Amino acid sequence: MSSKKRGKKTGSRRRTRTVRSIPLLWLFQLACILVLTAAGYVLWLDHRITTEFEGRRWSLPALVYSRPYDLYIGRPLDRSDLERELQSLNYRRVAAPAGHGQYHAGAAGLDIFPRPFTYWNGKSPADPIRVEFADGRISRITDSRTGGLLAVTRLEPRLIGKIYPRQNEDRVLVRYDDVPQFLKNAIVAVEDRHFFTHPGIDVRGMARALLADIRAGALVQGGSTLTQQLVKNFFFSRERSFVRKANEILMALLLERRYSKREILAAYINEVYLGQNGARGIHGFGTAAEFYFGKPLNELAPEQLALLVGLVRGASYYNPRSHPGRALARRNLVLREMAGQGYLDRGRAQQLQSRPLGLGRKRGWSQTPYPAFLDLIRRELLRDYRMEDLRSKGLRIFTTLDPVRQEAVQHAVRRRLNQLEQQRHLPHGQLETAALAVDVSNGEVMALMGGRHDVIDGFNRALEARRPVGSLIKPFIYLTALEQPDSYNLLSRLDDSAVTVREPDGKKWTPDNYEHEEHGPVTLLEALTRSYNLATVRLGMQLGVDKVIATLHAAGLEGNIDPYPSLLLGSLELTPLQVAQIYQTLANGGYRAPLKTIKDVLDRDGRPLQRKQLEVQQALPPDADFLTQYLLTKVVADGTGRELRNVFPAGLRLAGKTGTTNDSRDSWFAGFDDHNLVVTWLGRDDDKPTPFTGASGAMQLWAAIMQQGHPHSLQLVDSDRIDWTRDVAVHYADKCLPLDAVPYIKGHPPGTGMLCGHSWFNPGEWFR
Amino acid sequence: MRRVLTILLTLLLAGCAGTPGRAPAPAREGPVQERGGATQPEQGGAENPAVIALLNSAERDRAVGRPDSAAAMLEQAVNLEPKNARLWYRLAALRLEQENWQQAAVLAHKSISLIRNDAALKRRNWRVIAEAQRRLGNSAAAAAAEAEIEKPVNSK
Repeated sequence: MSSKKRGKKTGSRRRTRTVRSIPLLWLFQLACILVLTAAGYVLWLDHRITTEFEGRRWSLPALVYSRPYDLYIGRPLDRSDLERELQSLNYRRVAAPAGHGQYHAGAAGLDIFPRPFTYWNGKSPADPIRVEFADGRISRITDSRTGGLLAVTRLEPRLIGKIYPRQNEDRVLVRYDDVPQFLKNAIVAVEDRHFFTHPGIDVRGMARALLADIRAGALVQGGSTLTQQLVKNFFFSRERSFVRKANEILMALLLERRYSKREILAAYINEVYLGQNGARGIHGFGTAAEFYFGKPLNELAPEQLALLVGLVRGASYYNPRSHPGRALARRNLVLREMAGQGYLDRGRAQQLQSRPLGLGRKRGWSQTPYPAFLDLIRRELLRDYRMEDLRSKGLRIFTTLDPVRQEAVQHAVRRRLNQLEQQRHLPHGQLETAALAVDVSNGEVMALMGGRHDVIDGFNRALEARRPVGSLIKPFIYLTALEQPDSYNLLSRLDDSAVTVREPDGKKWTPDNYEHEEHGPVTLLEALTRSYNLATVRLGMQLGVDKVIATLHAAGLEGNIDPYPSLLLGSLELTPLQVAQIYQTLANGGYRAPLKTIKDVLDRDGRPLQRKQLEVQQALPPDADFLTQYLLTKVVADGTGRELRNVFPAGLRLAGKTGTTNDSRDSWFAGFDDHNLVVTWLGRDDDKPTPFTGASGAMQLWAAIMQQGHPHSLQLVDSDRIDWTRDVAVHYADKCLPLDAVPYIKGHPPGTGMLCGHSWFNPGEWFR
Repeated sequence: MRRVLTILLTLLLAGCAGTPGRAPAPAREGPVQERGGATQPEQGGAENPAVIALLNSAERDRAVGRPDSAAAMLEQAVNLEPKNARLWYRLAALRLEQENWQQAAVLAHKSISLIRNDAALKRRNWRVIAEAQRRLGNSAAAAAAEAEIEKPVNSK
């Protein structure tokens, strides 16, 4: 900014030119016109170069980050998990970590030298740490510098995507002070050895180049200074002509008058063209470091920096990925040149020349690894920001994505869908899916899959596929009932017998049970956990469809809902994301946390533009919610989800609900443990039947996802407004089911009508 | 008025600071004990070292006038132990300090919904609610919360 002001002053000084000698009048006039024209032209060039120089500094893509990787004592984590994360972050495995971005895998644990990272509340400490493990958990974290114990720390988040400027350029800006001296030396040595002394052009260099051109009879050598190259990068194509050259020289001189050597070199380092990633140019050394090595510029080894400098002369000709031989030769030339000019000891140069290229994996940012999630982020961002700002202001966007969890979901989807199709001898690839994982206590979306191959075809099923939810709606009907403790408790008698209901449009509706049978008098507990349709419709009609809709709205379902009685069996069409919202409220004790994917947005200087704190609203009555959660644990223990008992260890309490629609067109499961809510859907895009119920389809996928995420047993935490019956047994699915404790709202104990005696079974047989 | 609030807050927070390790945390994945009601989360502070560290950091940040940063620590703690009523209470009390009255009241209610046998903690939550409702201008709700504070402890 200060350079701009200085520039203005010198500019006005230049404008006043005086001609002292007065020859013939016409000659004077001609000279005047010529001078004015020339001055005008120079001013115009000056304006152009200044605008370009200033303007270029502001076009930066928005950077989208995952959530940081939390390390804390007791976190269930294997050493290999953490090592995988370090590799994802491109940490270098070394014998003794000496710099940021390195780690050592030793006998005692992992020694990590984290990278400093700036969050909304400041820079994270980046001292080296040691992380130790025991019994599948982190057992100890030590600050290796002070020797002190740490309970909580974190690794920097992953960069999961970028939102690019219109020119479709990528750029990782580096500050001059963060540029390794080795790189500056290498650039000057190879490209412009008199850079720090010449006025923008190097006459000796140009003479040398001219000689070479004459000898060859064509323009072969540029002889350009860094300043000239920068100008060329700003304005001109690779084509060479004398007019271009003249303009280039003029602009280089102007640039040098306005800006310091330091500013010019900094701009050069961030501007020079160093390669191509599809349609996107790789500009600047910071971008190139990320593109070729997957690391920040200041973590590159000297020979890697030399390789990048070698690319300046011809990024595609010396492209190390397609022409490794040429690139190696060019790199070694750079190293020899540096040694020749005394920037590098000859022995050291020899040693560096023998090293391999050391390229990293190629990463196309246009193909983010998590397209469905990024799609949701983009939608959320566009509510608050202009696209233009997102593309160019270098915003840093911190999201809720948990990459480990996301990859687990992706893996589970891929594996499980193939298996399900094979089991049922279905043609491969017809079955589609959507899945998401949400943090129950704060509504943060941790993982999201928009389809079997995520959103390869642009259709994000998690957000866009509205499908009938089937029995997933039932818990909200039962919760509505349990809000009236005078009338309903878990052992209330419901009637599961044929019923005909008149819809608002006059049509008659006669629902049926899934197994086409009636169960007669059943407990409310049995009706939900075994998902009886007739009892549910009767209950819903007693309550009133409007009451059920009010519960759904409270739980976070927006928009108008038509009060059709068929809603009671889930004719309501919702997206998996909407289902996740209402189940989040249910799983969080009745406290709704709006689902979110964005936590913080910082401007390029690290100032917070937006911060989302944890915010919850009391949406459903906690006591009725508690009873409903209890019911959902019974779904898994004894009801339609009981097959999960074969998958998870005994003692792990989970809650959930199956959903199946007519002819199994949709297979749903929504379930949660103490921390995570996962919603899965299976079906076909053409809405044709599948052979899967909620339990045999979506629940299988759900189980595969939960298994990979270190499930936490659900704690049913009751308030003092809840009491418990002792040692009862109730009629349940033609048997007598002993329950050693059934919760009820204080003052409203269940009647004895549905009891079948006291329990004499070992409770362990029924409860796990 | 501001000073009164500060004193009140200090009292509120003093009530729960520095009492780690009183009750053992429930085993996360141990067998579930159904008898005698649902699992009770510990309510006398945390033994989870990560939670203790976060509480300490939060307290440090709060003391030097960085309530937003303190809140972020408490949010992380709540996330680690979402059924711990004490943590929700501390977050509620901090929201008062952030002058987010509405959330202070909601989070205190959330804390109460997780309390079974801790009358003192419950009273502290009602204090937060009373103050928050007063700030919101809901004098009836504030009075109701005050009444809850005064309620005799009925032994269970």
